Amino acid sequence: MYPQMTLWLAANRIDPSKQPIEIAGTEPYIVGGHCQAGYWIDDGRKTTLEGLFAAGDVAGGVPYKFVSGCWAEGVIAARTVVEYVKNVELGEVDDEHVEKEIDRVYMPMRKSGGVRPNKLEQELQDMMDKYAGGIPEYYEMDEARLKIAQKELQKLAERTKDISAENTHELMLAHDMIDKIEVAQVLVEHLLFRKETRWPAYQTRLDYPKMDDENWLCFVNSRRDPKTRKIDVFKVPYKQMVPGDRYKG
Amino acid sequence: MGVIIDKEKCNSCGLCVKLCPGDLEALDPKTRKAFIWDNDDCWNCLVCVKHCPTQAITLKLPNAITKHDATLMPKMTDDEIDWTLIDPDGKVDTFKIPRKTVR
Repeated sequence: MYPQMTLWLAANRIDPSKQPIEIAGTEPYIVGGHCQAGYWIDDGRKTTLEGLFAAGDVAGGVPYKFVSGCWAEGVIAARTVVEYVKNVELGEVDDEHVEKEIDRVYMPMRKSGGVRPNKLEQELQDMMDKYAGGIPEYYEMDEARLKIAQKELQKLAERTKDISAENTHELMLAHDMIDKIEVAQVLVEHLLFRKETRWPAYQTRLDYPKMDDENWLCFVNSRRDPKTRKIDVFKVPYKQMVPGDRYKG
Repeated sequence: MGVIIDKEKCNSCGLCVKLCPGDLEALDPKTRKAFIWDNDDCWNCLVCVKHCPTQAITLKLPNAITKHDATLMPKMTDDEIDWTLIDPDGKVDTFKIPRKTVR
């Protein structure tokens, strides 16, 4: 039991040995190490972007890694990185590019009266909960609502141009928000693409409530074109590592 | 969720700033006292509460989930954490939990 649970029970005068505790499912973490979603990696935790490595929640393919699994993956990634950097030659950094990056990063602090990051976060949370299968919807979704999420995310993404930050902590939150909207956009594309229910209670497609191995026993990957911003979603074959009937233990 | 930092007790050592996994704690540049940027982002991991050398940091539950005051304070020794829980009626409970180490 977490310490805050102990405090909560005491503060509410609940003795768990005498009174049953109400529980409810929360946070199935479609994105991250709790589920299968994440960046496509090889055995050494190298991603498909040259020079970028992933471990833990951002690395896909292996569900339920939790903390110890993330640490183990970190060690694997670090070993690959050490080998990789041996052959890396440092390039020239152009000053103009550095200036541009500084402008991009500090822009929210140079504005005032724009939308604050926590306001935008609340809007994103409420919208995703409602239209992309959040907790109030019991993690259930369908094409019609996901299409609304797609449109709403586009509006939110446009509004990040007006994001403002009062201090460096808020500046961090502002960039967090820009990234969270991007992740949400990719998530919605993936949820729309997979026309079956593979993870009931995590991803329940009400319009396709059955698991469909014939068409969907595969991974779904995506890539975003940095210029056009278009998200391209495609299937990647599933390869069975351990022979035998995968539905019989 | 979140923590309350007692400015009187804070000795400005900066350990909480170093330990907070959410990068939420900082020292005020003027007073050199610790503060938390945003309690809404605190996950109640208690690392700052456990390691604060002056016990200046306490866990605070939001009033949306509790109506009464109760306190839970850890005291670290080399091999265990001694927890003291005081419920809203002033009843005191203590538990000793072994510390896990990875070697």
